[in-house]
Amino acid sequence: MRRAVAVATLSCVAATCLVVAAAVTWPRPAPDFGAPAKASRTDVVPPIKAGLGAGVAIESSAIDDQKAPLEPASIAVPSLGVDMPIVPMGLNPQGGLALPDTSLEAVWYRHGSVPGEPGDAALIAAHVDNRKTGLGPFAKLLSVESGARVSITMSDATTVDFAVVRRERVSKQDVNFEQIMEDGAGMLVLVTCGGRFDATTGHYEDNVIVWAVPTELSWTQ
Amino acid sequence: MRKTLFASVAAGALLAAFAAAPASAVEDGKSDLAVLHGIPDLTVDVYVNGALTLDDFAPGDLAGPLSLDPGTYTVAITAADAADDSAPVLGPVDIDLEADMSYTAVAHLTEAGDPTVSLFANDISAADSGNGRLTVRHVAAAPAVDVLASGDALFEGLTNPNEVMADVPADTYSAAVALAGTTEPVLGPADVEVQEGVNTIVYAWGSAEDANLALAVHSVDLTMAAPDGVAAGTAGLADEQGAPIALLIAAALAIVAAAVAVRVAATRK
Repeated sequence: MRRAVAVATLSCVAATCLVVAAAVTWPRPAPDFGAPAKASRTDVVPPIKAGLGAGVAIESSAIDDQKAPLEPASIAVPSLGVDMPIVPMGLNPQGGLALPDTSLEAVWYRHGSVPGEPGDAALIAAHVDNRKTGLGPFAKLLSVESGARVSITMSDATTVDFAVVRRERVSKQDVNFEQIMEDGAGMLVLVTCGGRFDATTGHYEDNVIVWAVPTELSWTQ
Repeated sequence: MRKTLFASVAAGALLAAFAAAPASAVEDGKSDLAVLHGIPDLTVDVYVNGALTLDDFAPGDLAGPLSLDPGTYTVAITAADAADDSAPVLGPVDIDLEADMSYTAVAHLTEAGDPTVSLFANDISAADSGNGRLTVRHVAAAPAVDVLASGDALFEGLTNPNEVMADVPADTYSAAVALAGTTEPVLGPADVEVQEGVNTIVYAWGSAEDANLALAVHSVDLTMAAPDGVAAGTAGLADEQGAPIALLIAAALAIVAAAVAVRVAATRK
């Protein structure tokens, strides 16, 4: 009998340990960080855009000499080993951001701002995963840390660097990209999905959003 | 809106070909101006406010857009070898540019075949998501035309120097221009790609009498809203279950079962 008690007691302890261990070690989303406050203009130094663009007098330049505008061509987050091409896309017919059928390419919202230009935040997004291509590089954004460097290579091979200042997981029901892009003036906003996956809809319940501010005046034209 | 593609093409060729429209439409408080040369057989210089702005501007060329301060600009068009704008072949004309607007100034022929300049405001207001805008401008020395899309009249009775436009689902359309009331194309058919969030502007220019009618295409970004949402994941591989519910329940049951076993064992003793 004593033996039975011992065994039962032991299994009770073991089960408790299991629960504790599960609670402690079960992977949980990384906590959000960064201030949700509206970016103050003094925090963000918009890169100086020299040459053609704002304020060019028509008298002083032949207009057929204008260069093609810059577009982001690739995005790298060296600390996470992320380096992927960017394709420009607009809206899908439902009004959401159009995305390619792959997790290996990021999308730049071409109706929004160019990264590094003053004005509303520039938006770059990528699938966290895809049935064909599996987990994409943006899956690593779910654990990106404050201060991480985000480097955008433009179509003319120049780069604009940003530093991550905030990461937040937001319910897709609450997310408001118009507000995010307005409030994040001068910033780069990276978006992917996270949180619980709803197998019935085939979608994640949350967006993971990362804000980054320009760190250098690397804009050249 | 800053990126513009222009193609002057022979009938039947693919018209639009630009890879990616750029960011925002017109810069806040500014005015965008593009210039199209639609007068056959006449290479010109374009002076703006007395300064040479476009040198040796050839028929079918489109320049710009330039981001300008709103205001009135004086445009004069001279022969390509003119020393200054004192003897313009066309103009000078004053054009008023308002803030936050996109314009195209077109040097072209009237219906009767005389050179003139028209200033068009390009509609950059938002289209519904999934749609683009198709604008057709008649700047040719030709009578009224119908614009046919896939054989059907899309716009009827368009006359020089007017335009018609419609928002259409983003797609590639087979477009042709026929004399009003007829279906035999005098231009086209040509494939016109209308991109989501882009105003694709097609010009019919040249002269019917001289048999040099041509199409030109100019694309201008619309001012589109931010996306409603970003559905960026479809496979569930990054699923983060809030808590391991099933495991917790199983473990709790195990505890209860074990506790019961302890009791039973103790009672039996």
